[in-house]
Amino acid sequence: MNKNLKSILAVGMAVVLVGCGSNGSKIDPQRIANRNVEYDQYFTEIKADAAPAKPDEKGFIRRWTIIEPINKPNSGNTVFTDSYILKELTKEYFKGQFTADIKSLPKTGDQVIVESEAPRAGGRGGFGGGMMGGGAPQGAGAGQARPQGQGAQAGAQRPQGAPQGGAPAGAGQARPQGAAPQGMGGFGGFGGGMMGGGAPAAAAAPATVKDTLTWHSVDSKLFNIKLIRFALGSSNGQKRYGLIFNAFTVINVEQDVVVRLAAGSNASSIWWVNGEKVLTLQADRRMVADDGMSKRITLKKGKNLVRAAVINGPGMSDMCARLYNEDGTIFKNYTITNN
Amino acid sequence: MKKIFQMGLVALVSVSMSETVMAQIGAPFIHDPATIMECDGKYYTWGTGGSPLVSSDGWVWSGEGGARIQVGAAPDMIKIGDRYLCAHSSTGGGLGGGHAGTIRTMWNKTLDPKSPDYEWTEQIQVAESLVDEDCDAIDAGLLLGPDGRLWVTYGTYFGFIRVVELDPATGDRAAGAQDVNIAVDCEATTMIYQDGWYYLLGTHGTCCDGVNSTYNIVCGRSKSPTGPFIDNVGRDMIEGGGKMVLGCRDGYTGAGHFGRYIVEDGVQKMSFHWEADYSMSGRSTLAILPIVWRNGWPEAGYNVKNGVYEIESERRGYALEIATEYVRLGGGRGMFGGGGNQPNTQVAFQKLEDVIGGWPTGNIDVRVIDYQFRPNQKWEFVAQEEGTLGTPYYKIVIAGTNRALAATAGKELTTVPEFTGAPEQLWSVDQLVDGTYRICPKAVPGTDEKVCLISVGDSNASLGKFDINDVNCKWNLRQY
Repeated sequence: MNKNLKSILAVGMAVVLVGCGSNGSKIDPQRIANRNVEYDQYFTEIKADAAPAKPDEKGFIRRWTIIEPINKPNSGNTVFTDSYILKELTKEYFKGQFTADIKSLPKTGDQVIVESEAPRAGGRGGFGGGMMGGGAPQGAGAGQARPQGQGAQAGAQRPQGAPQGGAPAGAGQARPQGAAPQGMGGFGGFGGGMMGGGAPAAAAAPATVKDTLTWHSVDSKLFNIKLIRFALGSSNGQKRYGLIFNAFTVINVEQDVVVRLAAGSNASSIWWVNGEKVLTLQADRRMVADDGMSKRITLKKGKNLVRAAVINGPGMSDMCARLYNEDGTIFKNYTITNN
Repeated sequence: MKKIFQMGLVALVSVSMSETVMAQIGAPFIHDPATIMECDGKYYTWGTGGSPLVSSDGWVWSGEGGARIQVGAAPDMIKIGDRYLCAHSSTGGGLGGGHAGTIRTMWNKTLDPKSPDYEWTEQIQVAESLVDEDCDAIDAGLLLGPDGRLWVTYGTYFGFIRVVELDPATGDRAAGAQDVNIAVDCEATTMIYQDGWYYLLGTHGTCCDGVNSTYNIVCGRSKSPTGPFIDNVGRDMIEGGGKMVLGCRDGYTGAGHFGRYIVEDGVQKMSFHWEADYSMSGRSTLAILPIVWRNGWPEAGYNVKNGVYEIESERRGYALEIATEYVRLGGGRGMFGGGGNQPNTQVAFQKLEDVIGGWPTGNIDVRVIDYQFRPNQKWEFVAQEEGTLGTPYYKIVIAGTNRALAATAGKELTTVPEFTGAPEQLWSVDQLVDGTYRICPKAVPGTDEKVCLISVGDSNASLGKFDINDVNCKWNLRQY
């Protein structure tokens, strides 16, 4: 069940739980001893001249160079139609954002200044604590800062105008006003389309902020790149939801080879190889390995640039990618670099 | 104009009746239904918030007769011994909020709120998630394994689905139990056990978006309740894998929150909710469908829609018919394509009016014989407004007539010239785990024995005890 809906119900149910003989929400510390979500549990920052990596045992590409996320506040994920993501994920926020020239790729620590939509006011400002007796333990939660000193200049300074207060989109936010299509779900109960679907808010031009964003070359410790953890860790907990992620990696092959790029993302994404758009994963979707697969692509001998752009509103955001041979077997005969 | 109006009316009625067969009737409004429980002759389930649905027959549901239980989100239920164990969750936020959830359990001796024994025990917290870890401890699902070990799965889209062992005597965590990550990006998970495999079922897709929801139920399987759960293409559910069990069907979107009810050996039902039932203003409704197992994977089966069918025996492939005089068809060129180079023409089908005048007017026996799409072999199924768990009763008549299939004293069969709605003329039609159908009379005069339509020899039919391993008990319903 979607948590947006549950949060609405929670208001009423919290009262119920108080009087229902519950033993409260005390959490056994033994059970939560190893549930940290620090940045370095997910990523190892690497230098610009790091030795080439290999795909992991299952072929997943774990080395990516990712720029700190761009604000694109959405209170729900159902707005991610084909046209919406094409528009938003191909929008150039900074010069060279979509370059296919490997020689001009940014290096870890490089920075750009980006003007983007300001996070929306309201919502819960991130994590407002348990509404239904959940009982968040003290000290856990937002603000998992990336350890100091990792990376080059990355994260050394907070960008001017950076949003304060955490999540741009919070529980209990209403569906965007206006333009709800017919048949959005009937009446009462659970019939009424509660995830902020339909058309994006039709409003005046949104306020903007300027961010200084830093590129980070990382090796993921998981097969999937936990973008939400990247966002939190690289923003001192300030960026969580309503974001666009841009990432690239370089695939080095010893000879021309025909492959397919297989990818999954939460939520929508577009993928390019050597400047050509090869895969689109539209709509509100979760990350599934091999969710989408490109047409046949010829990787040229030498360096090949794979680029990804992912957009998400609230909720988990992550991505994964690997390459397949034409015959359906996983292609692993290559190295991965960040330049 | 009048004809057009009549045709429109017929179409409207037809659509309405068809939809009736697809979903529970009454006021089955719910979201996140708990696995259906039977208690003292009634069926119960509860949704998020603890609102109940109750049914005396399993087909017509409403909130009457049940009691709201004090739970948070998405409860699940299981009967262990003579007690009912409820697992439910409380959540710390919304899609854009925190993720500090808790899973709690509690017991009751009965589900009937009017019973003097009706009392929930003190709740026990058995699992939890922190405000920002990669898990969201809600949406509990219970399984009592074949070895007597009790498991609860929990979690949602924010991170991992986890499983932890519980003590079936107390409902608390088993001593030393550890939470194990078994999947990602699911909601509403639960496990079932079938033929040596543990199946993890979860819901993918977009919840709570009414007619635009893409909720869908998927599964993977493992030899262990702690995984890895692998789907039909070899993908681990911890990588997002999952084979579809049910997504959307015409007029119904967003299947979610699976629960299994084993009626008996060979007859399984899955309960879930539709995010939007188009025939009920797009509201979220309880649904129950048969489970069909194909190549080791569960799929949502089908209730029989109103319509005209051949009733084909699984035994021989012959068709059930009323025992009337065989009337040969004229026309056609006969053997070996005689007739030279004359152009082909359509051979007329035998029509009811061609033969009905020669039929006896009283009761007519049935038999099983080669199907030739003759009027005495075409059976119309029409759903009635009462039923059994997940399916309505049907009247089964010769198409174009009101001549109805009926059980007789002595556990035999006949057809009566007019359907009256008597219990021996009402038939439950359950799709079995292998995809064939079981056809049972609501009642047999003179006996309380539960029987079903069976083949006796290749060419005759009778009533007898159901056995999933007996091919004589199974029928296929064909439409051409």
